[in-house]
This record gives sequence, structure tokens and C-alpha cells, in this order.
Amino acid sequence: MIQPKTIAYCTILVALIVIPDGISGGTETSEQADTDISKRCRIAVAEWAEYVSDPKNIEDPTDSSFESHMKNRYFHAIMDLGVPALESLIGQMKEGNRTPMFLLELAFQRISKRVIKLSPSEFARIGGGRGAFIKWWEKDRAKIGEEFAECYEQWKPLSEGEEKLQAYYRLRGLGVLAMPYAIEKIRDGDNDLLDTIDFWTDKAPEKAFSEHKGEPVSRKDFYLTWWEENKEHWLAKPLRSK
Amino acid sequence: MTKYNSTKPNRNEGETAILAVSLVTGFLMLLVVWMFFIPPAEQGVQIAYAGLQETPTPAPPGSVMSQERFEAIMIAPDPNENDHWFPNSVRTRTYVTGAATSTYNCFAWALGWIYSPFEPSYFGGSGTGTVTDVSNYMTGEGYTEVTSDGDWDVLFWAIPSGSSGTDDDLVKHAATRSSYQGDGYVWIESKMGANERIVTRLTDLDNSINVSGNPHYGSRVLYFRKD
Repeated sequence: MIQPKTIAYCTILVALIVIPDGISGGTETSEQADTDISKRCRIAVAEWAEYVSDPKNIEDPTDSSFESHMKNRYFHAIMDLGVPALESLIGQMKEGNRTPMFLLELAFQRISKRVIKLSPSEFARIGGGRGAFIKWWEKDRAKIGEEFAECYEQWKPLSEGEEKLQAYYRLRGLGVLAMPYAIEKIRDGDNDLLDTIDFWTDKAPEKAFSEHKGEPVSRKDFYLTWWEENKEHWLAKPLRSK
Repeated sequence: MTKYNSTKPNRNEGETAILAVSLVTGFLMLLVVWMFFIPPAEQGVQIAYAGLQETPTPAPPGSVMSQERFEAIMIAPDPNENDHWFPNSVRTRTYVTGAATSTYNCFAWALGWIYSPFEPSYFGGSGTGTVTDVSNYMTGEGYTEVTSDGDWDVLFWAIPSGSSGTDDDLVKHAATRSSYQGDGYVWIESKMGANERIVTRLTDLDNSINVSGNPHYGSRVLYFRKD
């Protein structure tokens, strides 16, 4: 007959073998996902760069804001990778590889929606948009929560007008990484930020809301549910402490 | 056989001498006509204007854009109903001052930077490069907004509000006042997207249209002086 003691030892043994394996398996899955998104991003960027390098594919060769470079499925393939692709884009910027730098800057800005105002003197000092985005990604984004709180406090009490609009732009220009903080404000009842969520996500929840066919639900409640179901696509990994 | 062979060369030498004298005389007669009957000014014009379709302006720095590049950049392919993106532009007064590159764009050039493109979001504000964004940015950077007839250094084009399409109120192009100001016109220098940097007359980039027939660069809306 098996003794209770033996059963206990066996249980502990199994736990010692299975649980660490499960943890390491989870880590591997996470790392695998990162590698996967990075590979996909590199391939997508390379395909986009090749496509726009052919003058025939640029509708307007004199476009100064490069909008013509973004009106194709190759660019949208990068956009579809979402926030998880930002790390890879920064990596490619740092490598300074064959991809034209402005393409990486465009893709990074359009996904992150981060508005970085650059003076001509800063341009020279930090190396253009590339330098600004790398610095923000590797250092300054750690302060996104504080920045959001500050911008929100400056914007909210103002009455309608140009000053309020400019304050709103500063808040919106924090970019998509500020979304968790905006969601908290919406949860607390500030529906003014629903449009900001749409801006940061290229109207992803709005599209889903317009196609909603179930029980009638308020826009606010729909957006909050949408966030819970999709937030992995819109969250960046926190900075590693150095 | 030997006799025949010895007389024939003598006859050929004579014919050759006559032919040579005739050619030299004809050449000398043409030279005399050219020198004495065609005015020297016209002789110069015929040489200098070869290959050009109209009277050239005094050349600023750079070279006149080639026909091939002019067609590729300044004239649109179908389906543009007018077949032109820049209907005011004239090839023989479109001077190339910088090679085609995506390393920098018009905004970077206008701000004095040629090592990376200046994306509209770098103007700050809404992040889309509206007229207000650019105006606020430039004044914040120490520029003074002036009128079109003022002493400006940098100017911007924008699609007017209410225009068809989605780009209304967005700044679309920028230029600097060219160091060349000749023949009574105002000349500007600007980078054409990822294409060449060119010197043109101020009005040459006006009335541009895109392939859909909508305004392309729009109108000249902002002028700034660097103090």
C-alpha cells in the first residue's frame, strides 16, 4: 500500500519538475513572440523599402511630406504589427542599415503617434528624427505617466478656444503609449478622451463599435471592453532598468 | 604592262591636285561669306542657344534640368487631365542645385538642415503640419512672420482650407529665397520631395495639381524672415 508520505514526496517531485518547466516555457513563448514580431517587422520594412524605391510606385514624386510613400499595402503591413513593432524599428534605426532612415522614422511616428517637436539646432545635436526617437524610446518614455498627468491637468480646466486646442494637441502628441492612462480617465467618466483613443489607434475601436450587433452598449463601455480584449496589441514592454 | 602602270599614277596625281585645289577654294569662299555676311552677334546666338527652346535667363548656380528629369518630376503622367503638376514651370529656367536624394526634404532645406528629412510632425502642435503648427513653430524658433512683399527668407505653401481632398490646411512645401536674384524676378530654391533641389522663379511652383486634379502644393501662405 502506498503511504501518504510517498504520495506527498511524489507530488512535490512532480511540482518541482513541471512548474519551472512551465515558467521557462512561458518565457520562451514570450521571447519567441518578440523574435517573431521583430522578424516580421524587418521583412515588412524591407518589402516596403523595395516597393517605394521604384519610382513607378510613387504616385507623387514631389510630395514633401512623403504621404505617397505610405499609400500602399506594404506600409499598412507594418502598421498592422502595431506597438510591438516599435522595438524592432528602433533597432533598425540604431543599426543604420540599408533601409532609408526616413522610412523607419515615418513608420515609427505613424505607429507611436508620438509628436516630437524638433528645433533646427536640436536636429544637428541629436541627429534628426532618428536620434530623437531613439532617445525617447530608450529613456524618456519612462516618464509617460507623469507627462500624461501634467498634460491632462493643463488641458482639462481650460475653456474652449485656441489655448485649449493646443493643450489638447500636447496631450494627444504623447502618443499611443499614454493610452492606459487615458483609459483610466475614461473609466473615471471622462468621455472626452474617447476621440483620442480613436486617433491613437487609427479608429480601431470606432470601427469595431460601428460593426457591433449585440446588446446595445454605450460607446464608453464598448471602448473599455475593447481595451481589455486588445490591449496587448497597444502596450509596449516597460523599459529595462539599467 | 609596265608602261601602262607607269602612266596611270601620273594621271591620278593630276586629278587629285585639281580636287584638292577646288576643296580649299570652296572652303575659303564659305569662310569669307560667313565672316563678312553674317553678323558676329548672330553667330554667337546660334551657338549658345543650340538645344534650347527659348531665350534662356542668365544662369544662376546649377545647371538647367534635363528634359528627362523635367518630364519625370514637373510633368505628371496620365490620368492628370492637364498633364502637368507644375503648369507654370519652364524647363529652361529650372536649375538643379542639388542631386535627387531622400536624405532631406523641402522642410529640412528651408530650416537649413540637409542631413535628414524634416517630417511634418516635427513642427509639433497637432503633429500633422497645419498652417497654425508651422506658424507657431517658426515664430517659436525666432523667425518673424512677414507679408509676401516683405523681406522674407523662407516661405511655405499650403492647401487652402475647404479644398477638396483630405489635406486642406496642411503645409505642403517650403522654399528659401535663392541667393540668385536676377532679371527682375524673385527666385527661390527648394527641394522637390525626394527629387532634386532646384532654383526657379517664385511663381513657377504656383497652381500645381496632383494626379487627381486637386491642388498639389497649394498656395503660398506663410513668409518668414530670420532675424
